[in-house]
Amino acid sequence: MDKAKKNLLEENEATALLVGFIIGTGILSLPNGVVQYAKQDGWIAVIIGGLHPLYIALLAIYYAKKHPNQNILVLSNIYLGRILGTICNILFMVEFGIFTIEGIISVSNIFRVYATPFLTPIKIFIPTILLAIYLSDKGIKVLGKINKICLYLTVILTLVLLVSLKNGSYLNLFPIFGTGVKNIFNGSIESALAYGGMESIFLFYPFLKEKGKGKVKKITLKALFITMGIYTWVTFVCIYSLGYKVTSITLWPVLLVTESINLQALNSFRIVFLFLWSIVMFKIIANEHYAFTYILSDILKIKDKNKLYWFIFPITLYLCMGIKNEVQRRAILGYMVPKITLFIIAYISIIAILIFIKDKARK
Amino acid sequence: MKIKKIVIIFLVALIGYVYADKLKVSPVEELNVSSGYGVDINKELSGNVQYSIPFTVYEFKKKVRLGTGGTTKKAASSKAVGEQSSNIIEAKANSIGQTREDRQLNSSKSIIIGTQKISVISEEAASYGILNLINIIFSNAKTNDRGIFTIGKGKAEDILNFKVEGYASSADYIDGMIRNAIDYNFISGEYTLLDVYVALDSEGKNLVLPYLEIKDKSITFTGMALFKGDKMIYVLPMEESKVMNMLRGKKGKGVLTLQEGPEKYINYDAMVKKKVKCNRREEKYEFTIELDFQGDIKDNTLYKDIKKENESEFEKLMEKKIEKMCNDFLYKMKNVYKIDCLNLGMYAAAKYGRETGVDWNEKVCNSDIKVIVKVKIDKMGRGQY
Repeated sequence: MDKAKKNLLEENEATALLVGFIIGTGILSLPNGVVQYAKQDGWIAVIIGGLHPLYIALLAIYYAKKHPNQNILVLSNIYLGRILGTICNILFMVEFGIFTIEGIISVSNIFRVYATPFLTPIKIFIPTILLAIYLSDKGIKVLGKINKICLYLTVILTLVLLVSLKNGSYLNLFPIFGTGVKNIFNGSIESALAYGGMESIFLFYPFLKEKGKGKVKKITLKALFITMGIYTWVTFVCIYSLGYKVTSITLWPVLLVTESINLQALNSFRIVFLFLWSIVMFKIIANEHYAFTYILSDILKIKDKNKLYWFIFPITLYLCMGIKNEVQRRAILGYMVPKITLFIIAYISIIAILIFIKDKARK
Repeated sequence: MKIKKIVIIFLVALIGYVYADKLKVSPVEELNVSSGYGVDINKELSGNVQYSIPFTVYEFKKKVRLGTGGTTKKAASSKAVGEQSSNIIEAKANSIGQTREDRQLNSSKSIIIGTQKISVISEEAASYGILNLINIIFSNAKTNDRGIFTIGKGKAEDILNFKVEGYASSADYIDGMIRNAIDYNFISGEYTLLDVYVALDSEGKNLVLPYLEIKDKSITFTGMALFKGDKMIYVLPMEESKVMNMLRGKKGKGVLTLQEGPEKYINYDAMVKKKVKCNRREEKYEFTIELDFQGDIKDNTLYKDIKKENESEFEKLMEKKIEKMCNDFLYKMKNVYKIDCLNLGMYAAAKYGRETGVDWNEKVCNSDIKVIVKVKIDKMGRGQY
């Protein structure tokens, strides 16, 4: 019993894991997407976009209260029946699969533009996928610890962006609310897509060590505020120092901002930033991959995950090779992610309603 | 277990070889490291434009000096001193990207692009437009975004070819000159590539770059080039640029003088901070620029003594003089240049809305601009002789 308990997540690790599912490759390009619609009010759009994970967080708290030991895979089978439940689980798994592939391609694109242009994509895909498989094989406790380290790294790196504030002008942010509510709302939809990943809480809240009252509440809300804070801060810094037009032209505005920070020995802070941020990017790929294989092994009822990896590796590799460059990747994502997000919201809400109804009926 | 270790080491070596195969690493003496580049344009009669982009590259030469005498065995010293100088590699083509091909044909070593500290754009190329150049620079991830952009009189190649004593290349000299120019003339130093990207794309902002000339056997910073969009329109001499910088930058340092004769003057070395307020009445804009000067009296041969009354008298006279300087410049800006070189459009856009289709150059030149100056004396040195 003790050994099993050792493998459960502490509160800090769970918070870090949740943040780790959301913050990853998206942060470097989030300001670009948001600023296309919301212009200089991009940072407000990012705050409003936080409503999406907030909603999911509230639902998660409700789930954990009613069914603290059963994760969503089991619950969907209970409430929606075997066939429909399994279909929904498969779609849930597909979401994590898409995020994994998207993360890998994003890492490859960033490296091939900024760091290692001499590598072909496949040379980056293979080690990344192997690394993700290796990390996710270690289990959720190890993942939690890695995420904790990466959380500290994320916070420190984004705080260093403070230094670039001296190169900007507050005028770039004005007039506040000048773009109009409709544009800010469209921008917040873009940012809501970057917040995707909160739904992973539904998979691992049974793994918490302490399932007391309000633990899940504490974890999800803390993770939510950390994520919202970091995303808003990063968008704010990009608009402040670059202005919204340049932010909408650069594919990775955050890296352009890091260029303005001067380090003595190196040319710019961008190199250090990218080097340390790559750790964060690998972490999110490992996270998503873990979620994917976890659901897959649950659906197929296969305990030994090694057999799964033999299949997952070539399929992932093949899918990654399909998307050629960054612009294509964003177009495909822009098409698929809204549908996925809507599905997730609908799916989770329906099960919540069913839980509520059954609960009332029991009383 | 041993087999496992051997297999792992073998795999690591194999992977390392496969990955590092394409990596080109060579010592710096075998690469052409560029310290600066110039942009020239040849406009042909047929309407074609030929871009000429010379690169200044470092040359690493070794001079071997033999030691004196050979009487003792110890004194067989031969020192090899590395000397740095620079060369120009030319490149001409019909598009900027193609000049890279032409350039490599003129060079014995591989050329590294993106390490440049400065770029000198000739007047003709700047008047033609720098947007194409900015496009290719922006797209290159390896560009040094803190490199400085300057405009040169005549041909950029001549400025880059100019040999400056004690410096490996004229590019190093120009780099130092512009970075250290912020001590005087109210120069802001915001002439890096990042500033150019932001200025070209910001509403209400107009680009201003340093203007270099070869004068009296050296390269000097003689004025500022005014841009409208991405094309250079005017060149302001240093006296006018000084006033423009005073009104344009967030802060700056410079020397102002009250002079009543060849021997009677006061030199005031001040730091200025600027605040702008913008108002709109119907279609007409009103700008109020507040300049706060605080500085030291460096030299005083005008008054016999600086006492309390003289101090305030000096402050008032200085304020009036600065206001007159600013108003003269503003008159010229509104009627002759007709460009918003003070970036006042930025403040108006921040208050009244962006992308409303307003031409800020026109609006600012038709607006009322008022300058309020405050002068304060800080220190007066050791004493008056």
